[in-house]
Order: sequence, then structure tokens, then C-alpha cells
Amino acid sequence: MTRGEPARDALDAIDEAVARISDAEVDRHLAKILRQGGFRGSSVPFTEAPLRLKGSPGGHGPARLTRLGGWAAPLAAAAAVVLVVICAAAGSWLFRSLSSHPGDSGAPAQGTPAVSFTGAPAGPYAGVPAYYVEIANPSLAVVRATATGATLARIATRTPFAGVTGGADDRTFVLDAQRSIMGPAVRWPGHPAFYLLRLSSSGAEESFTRLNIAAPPDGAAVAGMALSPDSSKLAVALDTGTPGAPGLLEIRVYTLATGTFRTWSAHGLADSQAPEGFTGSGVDASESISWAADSRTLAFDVMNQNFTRGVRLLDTAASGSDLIADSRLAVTERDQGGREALTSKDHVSQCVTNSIISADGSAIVCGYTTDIAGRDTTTGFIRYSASTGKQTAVLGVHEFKGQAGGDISLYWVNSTGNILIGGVLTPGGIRVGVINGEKFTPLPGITHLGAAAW
Amino acid sequence: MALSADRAAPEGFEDFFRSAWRELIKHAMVVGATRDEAEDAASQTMLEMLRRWPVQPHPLGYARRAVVSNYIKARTRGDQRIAQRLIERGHVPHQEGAEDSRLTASEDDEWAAGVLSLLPPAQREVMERITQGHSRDETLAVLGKSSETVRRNLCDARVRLRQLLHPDGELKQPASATARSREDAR
Repeated sequence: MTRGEPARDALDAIDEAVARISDAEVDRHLAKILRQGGFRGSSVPFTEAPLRLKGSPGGHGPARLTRLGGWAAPLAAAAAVVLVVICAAAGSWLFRSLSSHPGDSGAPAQGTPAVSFTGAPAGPYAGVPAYYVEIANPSLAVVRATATGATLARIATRTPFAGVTGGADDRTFVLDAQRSIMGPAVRWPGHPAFYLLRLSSSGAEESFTRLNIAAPPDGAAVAGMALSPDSSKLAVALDTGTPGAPGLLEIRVYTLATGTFRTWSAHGLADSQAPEGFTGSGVDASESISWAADSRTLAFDVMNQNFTRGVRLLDTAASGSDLIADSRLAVTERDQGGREALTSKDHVSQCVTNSIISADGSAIVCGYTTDIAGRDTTTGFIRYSASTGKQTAVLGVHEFKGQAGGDISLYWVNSTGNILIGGVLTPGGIRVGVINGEKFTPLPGITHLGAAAW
Repeated sequence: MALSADRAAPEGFEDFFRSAWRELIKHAMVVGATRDEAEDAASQTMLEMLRRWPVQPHPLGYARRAVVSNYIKARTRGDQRIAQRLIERGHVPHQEGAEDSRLTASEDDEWAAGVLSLLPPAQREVMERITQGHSRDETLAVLGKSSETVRRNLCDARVRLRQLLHPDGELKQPASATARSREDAR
């Protein structure tokens, strides 16, 4: 398209170009993606797609060189070589502490209840919950042992599971189930339903019952869910929007013993602080809202219309129902001008996962991904002080040589925010493991991981 | 981690891929990608989703946002390489290059939001919806404006955004390596 071209022509040209994509071409791309992901197609023959010579339509390197300008060609070509090399190169996990603050050393705060895990694994997995629940597919949730990856229980459902969250006792989990309809936009007909899963000390299914709590509105989608550490309350972030009419953020906190609930919501689009229904990506399988150990302080991610992003803390025991006015901004990850709150030598800029507050309330942790001087890619986890909002540590940095996709997920943090369970997408596939300071210990038996809770 | 090609694709992924591929190509192209760039971004998006499938709760909405993000990442990596090259060739003093840490922050959609802030309000309004994962029809419905107005704003925004993301003219204006400073210079 050239400048000055009538607007209709440009979009029509796109529509026409897309309409020319044949089913066979789509299948070739699908086959290629499946192969790259280590899967075989169920109905697509695994024949190699026609080889595209460099510089041909749809090719990679030379097209980029053209866009970069001829003088940049050697550099970009070198970068392309690096991209190839990193497919076989392993990254390295490093630990980099920023200026530490008193009280952020990882020591539990006084008066903070210790979280113990009966039967918790020892060795490299010491200090992390013994079990986790993974939504293996929409029809099946699986209980696994953290240290071995062994399957301990399977919970099947006819209404698809959508999310899962766990209490601090490593025995109590809540799953939500709701049908979705794929179309131009995803719709969520009906009401989300919540189920309480209790495990025995050996990780076997002890009970699985539907929670008797008021259902969210018809068509609402659960954008985030967090079971309080004492398993007495369930916080649910709801997206009540419909296709074409995005809803505002609403958080409900259910008291499970009584079924009663309180609601906090944003004002509306006229409010510059209104998060417009955003609670983190909600799709990276991470926790999107999280509780401190007091089971009253709830942390949630917000991004307002100025694209300021941060983490707010809501005292659910205090009065009020305004999600913004009745909460306080604890961490600003990115300000209105698009600048990061603190730039380290690694150019750590912002969180790309949802954030989790540590049980002692002292730290807020999230995952990030960025580049070092445009040459190397790093992914890792940032720890912020919940009291000062400052970064206090960059944990478990995974460093790639060259630029690589840096997808990252954060599933769990310990009581002080210095031991994490997270996942990083590397050129060789997803790596999920325990990050304890400078050490990354992969969790066995995980080849891909969607929604999961420890 | 060893990946075995003997594993069947996760349930539902292939159907999603077939139903969403064209939409992702179109979505990236609306933002300004060429067909090649759109395929690259869509492939990257689908691979990421495959590795964490099932992506919930809004796979298509996620995919639309991700394909825009991946497209911008690819382009801004070019910016970063150019900025580094300018430093290496002495066109830009090292200190100025150091200030280009904003370029390194361009890996994310937040930076894209910053770029969008350089668009005129009407164009930004439309393009923000697109980058947030709304389809063109959804954007039309949300904004409540005439189809023709939205289309024109979207098309103009596409051209403008492509200029902002394209490193044209950096040798003429070596001190203006960031998108914002390039815009200010105009």
C-alpha cells in the first residue's frame, strides 16, 4: 500500500489477499507449526512443505534485509545465523540481585504464619508444594506430584474446565468450569461453575464437589481466580463484557462457608483509572490475582487506559466496593510515558506475566522478558517490594544467546517471594521448574503446561 | 527438553488453527504487516499457543493481541539492530545509544502503546482496539461510528504506524533513533 491510497482499497486489498489463502496452505502452516512444537498432526499428513528459497515470497532472512536497508544486511544476516544457532544452544540460568532493601532479604516477616507442607518433597524441590493440579485438557484435570511428575488423580468433566487455583495447605483446590463458543470472538454462555477438590495426604482425590455459591452473571468469563491461603475465601475476577462491548473489571470474594460474597468493581470508562476489565493477560495460565497469608489482602494487576500498568492491593476486610478507590497502588511497572519504573543493566522493563504477592505480603513477583542490547534475550522474574514499589531482585534469569521467544509464566511463589515455580519458553520447548535464587531445577514430566495451580 | 513428534496434537488445537489462521494474517496486516511479516508473526503466535495449549479463556482474543505483539517485536528488533549499528559506525555517540534503552524496551506491547500514542486521536482510537485484540467488526461495533469513518481512520493509522515502526531515514537523522524522537523531529 502507498500513502494517499484510498482507505477502502487498502483494507479491501488485505481482505482479498487473505481470501486467497487456500485450505492447503493453511494446512501446510499447521503441519509446520506442529512439527516445530514436537507434535504430529491427527489429520494432516506430515509431508514437508515446499522449500522456500531465501528471498522468495514468504521467505525470511532476505525479506528482512530489504526492510533493514542494504547497509544493514550483513548485521541482520549475522543475527539470522544466531537465530539458527540458538535452536541448539541451551540458555543459562543466572541470579542477579539488585540493591537489596532491609526486610526484603527473604526472611519471613514477624507474625507471618508459616506455611507447612505435609509430605513436601525434599532436595531440590524442598520448600515447594508437593502436589499441583493441571488442566491437561478442557475435559480433564490431573493431580501430579511436583517432585516426580507422577499422576496421582484424574478428574474428568463434561463441562470444560477453564481455570484452577490452590490454597496454601496443598490439599485444597478450586476449579471453574464453563463452556465457550469459538467464533469471531469467544463467547462464554451460561454461568461459570466452581468445584472444590480436596486431596488426601498422598495426593489422591478425597472429594470433588460443586461449591454452593451464587453464580456470576450469565455470560461472564472468569478472568482470574484465587483461593485464599486458609481456603476460606475464593476471589474471582470477572469479565462481564460481551463481544463488541468489553466489560469492566469486577472482583468478587466469596466466603465459602456461607456462600455470601462481596463485589468490588471499577467505575467506568470515564474514570481514567478504570482498568477496563484487564487483570493481566488471563491467558498465560498464571495466577492473575493472589492473596497474602492474612487471607484479606488481595493483589491484582491493572492497566488503565493510559497503559500505566501496575499491581494494586485491596483490603477485602475494609469497607467499600470501589476497586480502584478502595485499593492502593503498590507497584508501578510501567508509567504513563511508557517508561519503566527502574531500568537495570539488563533493561528489565516490565512484567509480562500476572503478578503474585508473597504470603508475607512483603514482595510482589512477576515474570519479564527483554533483550540485552538487542543481541541476547533474557527472561526471568522480578521481585518488587510491596512497601516501596521498588525492584529488589531479578531472579532466575534465563539468558539466550541471540534473540528468542521469551514466553514466561509464573505459577507460585513461596511465603517470602524468593522461591518460585515458573516456566520459560525456550527454543527447545517450555521449561517449567523451581527457581531458588540462582538455581533452576526443572520439574519432571512436563512437556507443556496450561492452567495449573500449586 | 526432548520433544517427540509421535505425540498427537493437543485436542482442539488443529481446529483452532484452521479457524484462526486467516484471521491472524488479516489482523497483522491491518496493523501494517506485509504478508510475509504477518505469516511470521502468526506462526510465532501459533507456536507459542501450541506449547501451552489449551490457552484459556479467550484463545482468539489472545491470538490477535499476540500476533500484533509478535509483529511489532520483529520490526523493533530491526530498530535495535540499526541503533546498535549506528553506534558501531560512529553515527551516534555511545551515550546517545545508551539512551536508546527505550528501544530495548520495545519488546512488549506497552511500547506499542507508546507508539500508538503518537497517532492522532481518531486513528489511535481505532488502532488501540485492533492491538487489544478486537476484530474490525468488533471495533466498528464498539466505537459506534460509521463503517467508512472507521475504515479510513484504520487505514490512515496503518500507514502511520508502519512509518513509526519502519526505520526509514535513520542515516539522515542519526540522533533521532527512537520512534518518539523521530516523531518530534517532524
